[in-house]
Amino acid sequence: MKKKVISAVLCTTMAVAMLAGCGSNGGAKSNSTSKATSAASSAAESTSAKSKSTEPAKAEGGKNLVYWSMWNETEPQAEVIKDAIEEYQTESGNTVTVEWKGRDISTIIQAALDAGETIDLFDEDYQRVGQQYASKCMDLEDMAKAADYETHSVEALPTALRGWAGSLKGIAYQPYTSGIFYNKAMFKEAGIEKEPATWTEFLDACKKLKDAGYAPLVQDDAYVLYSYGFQIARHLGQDGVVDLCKNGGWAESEGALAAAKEIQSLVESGYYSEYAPDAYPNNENEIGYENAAMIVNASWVPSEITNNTKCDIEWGMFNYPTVDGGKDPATVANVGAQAFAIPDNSKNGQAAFDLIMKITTGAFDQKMALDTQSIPADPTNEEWPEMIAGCKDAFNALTNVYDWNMGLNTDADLKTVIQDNLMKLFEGKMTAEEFIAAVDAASK
Amino acid sequence: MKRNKKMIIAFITPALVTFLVMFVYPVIRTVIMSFFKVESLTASTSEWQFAGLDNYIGIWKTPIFRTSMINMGVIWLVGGVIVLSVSLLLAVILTSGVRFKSFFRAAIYLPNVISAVALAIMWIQYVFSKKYGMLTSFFRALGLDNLAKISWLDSDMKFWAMLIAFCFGAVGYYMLIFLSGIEQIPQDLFEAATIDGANKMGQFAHITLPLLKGVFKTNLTFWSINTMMFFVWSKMFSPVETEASTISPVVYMYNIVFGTKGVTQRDAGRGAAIGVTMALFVLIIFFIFNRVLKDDDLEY
Repeated sequence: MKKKVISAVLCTTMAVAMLAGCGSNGGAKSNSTSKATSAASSAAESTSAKSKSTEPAKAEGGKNLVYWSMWNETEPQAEVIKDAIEEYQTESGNTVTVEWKGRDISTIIQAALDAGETIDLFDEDYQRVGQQYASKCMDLEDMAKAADYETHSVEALPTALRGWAGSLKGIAYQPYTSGIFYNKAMFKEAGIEKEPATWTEFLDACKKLKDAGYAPLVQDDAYVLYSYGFQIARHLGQDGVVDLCKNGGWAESEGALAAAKEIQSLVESGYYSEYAPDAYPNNENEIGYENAAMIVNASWVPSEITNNTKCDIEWGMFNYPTVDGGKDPATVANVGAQAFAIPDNSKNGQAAFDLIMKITTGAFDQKMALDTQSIPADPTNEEWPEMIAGCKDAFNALTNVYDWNMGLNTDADLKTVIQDNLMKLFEGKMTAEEFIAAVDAASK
Repeated sequence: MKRNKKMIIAFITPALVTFLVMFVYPVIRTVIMSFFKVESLTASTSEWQFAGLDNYIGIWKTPIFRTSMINMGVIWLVGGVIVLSVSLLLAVILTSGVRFKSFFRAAIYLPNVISAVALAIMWIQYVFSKKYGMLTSFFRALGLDNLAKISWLDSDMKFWAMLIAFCFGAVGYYMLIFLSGIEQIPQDLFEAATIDGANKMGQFAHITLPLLKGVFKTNLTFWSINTMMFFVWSKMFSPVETEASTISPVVYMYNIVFGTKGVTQRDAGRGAAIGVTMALFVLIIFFIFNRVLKDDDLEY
């Protein structure tokens, strides 16, 4: 009998342990309930009509929002979000449970959405929100209109989200822009007085920098598609690049060949660092070591290089130059962002939207920009971090945007082939004609 | 011993249910999914469209998948020869009465304790770097300028650089298995051979190697599974954009199932077909090893 009891206890323990082990842990979780009770009473007093500003609506309180975050808890973005949540809780009387998933969210959020998991808001890359998750997300048009969101957003971002999803399915924040970032002191020393706007002016700047003893350009392996993407898109426009990747015809495309020849010319003229193309981020760090002047990249790169090399550089930035006979002006660039979205099964849609507005507009958007060296998502925030202040005019001048890699991502299999052959082009082991022939063969 | 059937069932049931739910169900679902066109891994079955063998035919028609299979084959063959030979050599040396055996055993095994991510960064940044990498500095110090100029991470050399780094990290694990296998062989066999006049090479060829057949089979199976699952090293050597020179089938599968930066098209059906194909490869290799290296011989 005694044995039976022990066995039964052991068996139960095993089953309970297994069930506990299978339970959700969801990564780092923080449940902010402080101040909720006291705030609830004050919030309850104010249940008046929804504010038309970006201030969160004074809800009745008492709701618990579940937020799956793409950040790790110790990242600067997470710190700003935590502050915004704390203020939101105080004002609304709601509580927010945050699960800090980090970048792994990109592999788990789809499953969570498909399974109908209780999530009230999450954030991820804005293109994936617009293209992959949109069908499982709430339409935010009405709430955005009520909150006067358009006044507080950079027009290109909601436009892109609507373009992908058909309507507003996400709220973009922490945007980036792209172009050519450079060391202002080197430009001055080389006698370059005006930021290049055309390819001829760009080549002239490269020559002056080389004559001054600096490597004009750096190039890491991770961004060869990005550099060539800019070059080919200037000739053909992104739609032209997409068409080439979808339907082939590389051998007949004058723009594709011209772009490859221009890259080949840069290589042969010795305008790239002697170590280019190097393994990311080795070559971009050459700018931090003050051996090189320019890099084709996005607005996170000044902060990244500064962190890597502890350099103290005055950064400048200009939009990628135009090419002779090219389709696109200099005012088109790759722009991207993160985006918040609300799953369509959320029962707290309005409350989640209010929290999103709290984070992505006004004071917390300003704080996000300054603390994370990024561009404010709310154009009414006019203070830009010093490191990327040079992007402001170029960013404000944009008339259209490119996707990441400017259309070269259209066919994922072909993209890998282009990447490999571009490496050879940048290494000087392949001519422009050979590059085009290799890509053309792979696209058939 | 008296058997209590109820207790046996009570104890087995939780494990069995867990096994069925966590292992058998996903396997069956993956196999079925591989015959359907499915965009998202967790899409409802109502969204699945039957595609027959299209996914299997499709992956083999895709050049980049074939490249990934070739990469994997080279890693398995060349890496396998290097790793298993070096690890066997080290195991034999360590069991031959060398001093500080424990220290060397720990030192050689150490890379297995360190995260592959950290190891890969170390190799990329501190060994292969064109500017200040150990190899460049070493050859330059010796005055071997031609060797110092080798770009270990350029398009031609990157795969081999990755393979060298991977092998470095793998040797210790297989050495430990060989080591335990050699230590199982009774010492009196070696003593008798020594008395009969056999030298160390003879003893190795006629005693150690034949008696390690089972251990070889174990190591070959583990090596095969490891190379089939080759992922982290490939990702670390091509961190932002996947490159054909370093792509492996699992990386390709991951890319098409989850998408990559700026690529939002997904194809979970094809991903499942790759998963099933890889599983079949492992089964075939295991079957071949079982046939070639039979366990019916004497071993310890």
